[in-house]
Amino acid sequence: MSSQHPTRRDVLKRAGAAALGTTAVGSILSACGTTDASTLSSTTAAAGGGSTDAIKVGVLFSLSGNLSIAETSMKNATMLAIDEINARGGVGGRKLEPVVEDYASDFGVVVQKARKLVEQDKVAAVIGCYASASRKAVLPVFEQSNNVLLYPTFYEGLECSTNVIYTSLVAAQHLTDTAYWMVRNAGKKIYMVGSDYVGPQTYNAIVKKLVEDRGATVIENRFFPLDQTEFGSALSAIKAAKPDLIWNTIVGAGIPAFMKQYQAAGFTPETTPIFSGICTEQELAAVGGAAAKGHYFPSSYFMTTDTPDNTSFIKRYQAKYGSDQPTNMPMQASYTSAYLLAAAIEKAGEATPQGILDAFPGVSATAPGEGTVTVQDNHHTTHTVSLGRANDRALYDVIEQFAPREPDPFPAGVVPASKVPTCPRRETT
Amino acid sequence: MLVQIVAQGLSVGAVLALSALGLTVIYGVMGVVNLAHGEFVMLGAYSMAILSGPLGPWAAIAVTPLVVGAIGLFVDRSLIRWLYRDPVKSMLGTFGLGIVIRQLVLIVEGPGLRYVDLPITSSVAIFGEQLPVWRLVLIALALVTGIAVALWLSRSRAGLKVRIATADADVASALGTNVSRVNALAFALGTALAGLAGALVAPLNSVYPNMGVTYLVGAFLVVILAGLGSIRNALLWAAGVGIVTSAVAVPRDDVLAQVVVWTLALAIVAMRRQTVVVSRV
Repeated sequence: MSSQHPTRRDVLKRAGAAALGTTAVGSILSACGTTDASTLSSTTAAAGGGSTDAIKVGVLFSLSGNLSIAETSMKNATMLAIDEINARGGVGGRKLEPVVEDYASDFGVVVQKARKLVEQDKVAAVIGCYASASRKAVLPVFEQSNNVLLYPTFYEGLECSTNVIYTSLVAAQHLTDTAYWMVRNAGKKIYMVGSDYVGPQTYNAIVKKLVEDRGATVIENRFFPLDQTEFGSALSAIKAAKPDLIWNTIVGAGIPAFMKQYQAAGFTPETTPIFSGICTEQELAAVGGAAAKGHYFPSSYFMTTDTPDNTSFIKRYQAKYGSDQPTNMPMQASYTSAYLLAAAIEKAGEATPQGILDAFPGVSATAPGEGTVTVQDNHHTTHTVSLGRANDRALYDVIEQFAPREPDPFPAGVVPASKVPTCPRRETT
Repeated sequence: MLVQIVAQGLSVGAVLALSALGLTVIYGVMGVVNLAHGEFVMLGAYSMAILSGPLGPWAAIAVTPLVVGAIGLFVDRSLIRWLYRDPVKSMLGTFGLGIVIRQLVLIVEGPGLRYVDLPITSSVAIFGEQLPVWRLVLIALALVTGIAVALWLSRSRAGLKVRIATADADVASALGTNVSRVNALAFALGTALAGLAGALVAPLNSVYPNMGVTYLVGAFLVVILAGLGSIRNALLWAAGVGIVTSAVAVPRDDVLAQVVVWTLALAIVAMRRQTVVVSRV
């Protein structure tokens, strides 16, 4: 079924299904009588409605290379949800058929793989991508072919593509309550650090605006090269500046290095806590409990959340992938993405990319450990954010749950009012 | 601020010195430019990550140079000895070796970041400034190691053989020195020093297969400035690079510090009007 050249049997079956359908394409096909096989397969795959065939869903993550730790677990979570949806009978009587592709942490390969899924496999939608660079790379593919990408991780915003559904947190939604909370509870003198690229810079700009609105002062907003793992100089400067708290958006191998050198330099979370914007349990595991304990991170999902649905989610995940496997926010968002997609197909009554896109606004699903999440008109998703504090097992304990928050990809005060577009919009031309 | 800059500079310099020492010994003795040096630092960090649990941090630091040195000895006998005294061949060979080591570690240990808890988390007051003890330990160990290696080369009988073999391998061989064994010893020593550097930085960092590249670049910077093969110069230049880095990075930022350091390094090398290869041991 996944091959580029459909068998004669496939073609006949689909032609029959299309002919029986009430769509315009169906009636044209039956009127024409005979059509050559290649046109036929592409039109029928696009029509799809009323068929009993499986619905192809692309699953596009890095299963090798340096992003593979995070993305393999996101692929696993997506597959768990697809299996569960199929076990309960699929969507409208049709099974979801995952087509898994590995883009090997390479932002050139990700484009080829996205093209393959959309053009050859003719998937109805794709769940995938992780780093913003991978999403940016495949945007033209999805917009030009008018397919659907469900992007299942938190990101910086400033985007609302007609062809992307952003199922996790967007920066302002993610950080607003935490920014207010830290000014209220930890102090008004803030030192900011981050990795030197667009994500952390946007995060820091948003938080700077938020905390200054609440009367706090940002002493310094300091960025480091992506591969930097020596932070002694910055820590000396921080020591001299005597801030009340640190706002941190360092990423990758820099996170453990920064936190451990912070501990070595004699800082304690009791006097100067670190609030991180990009530090899930996955990153925290490499810091180790001793250096991580007492520092903060806001998220829409924590592994420690003690609710029956989260306990069940972790149990099902670990039964499938191993009892030592941790869970985290991008995984939960990947899992929920498959359920959101199923709900959108159900609402659309057909498995075509355009039908799915039209159906998405207003579609809801239950996110484990979080509650109901709903896709909005701007293609982003409502979420409930909680603030976590790391314990000595390098996991976060929830210390405060905030009210559900609407997604705002172009926050006021960071983006000039004249530059706020009408969402969704085409991001590429 | 001044105390912070000097202390921070010396601690950056200590890591640079430890990784540069091994590089310089290996080149000085056998004329091999070891582009896999960063990978031996990485192996030291992994050894520390694996051993510090069962043995405790201090024993792990003591054992790690032996472990990495043993690996170095094996690598010398199986690969490096075919590359002696041919810098171009040795660069290509060790570049490939670095890729092989990274991939082997990736296969065996996986791509995930590992961590090593800090053996000492306290800090002490020096000239009224609180300085982290672990960074001071790093500085002290780099200094002690550098002096020990220099003394071993200049005073011990084995060191004498190394110097003879370096000065003229053929004559040394004719006079009854087993040059091949001396070379193997030098490579093992050089990689053991890299391993020690890895063990000492592991608690301040995270441990992962690609971590070595940063240390290779830093070590090369020092070696280019100090001249390959000179241990005393390597120590001095490492401290110099560290202090210049922190003098910019503490009050301003790390990106600018890198720009300043590399611009100065280029200017110094250009003014000298001579090749990278200055002297040997």
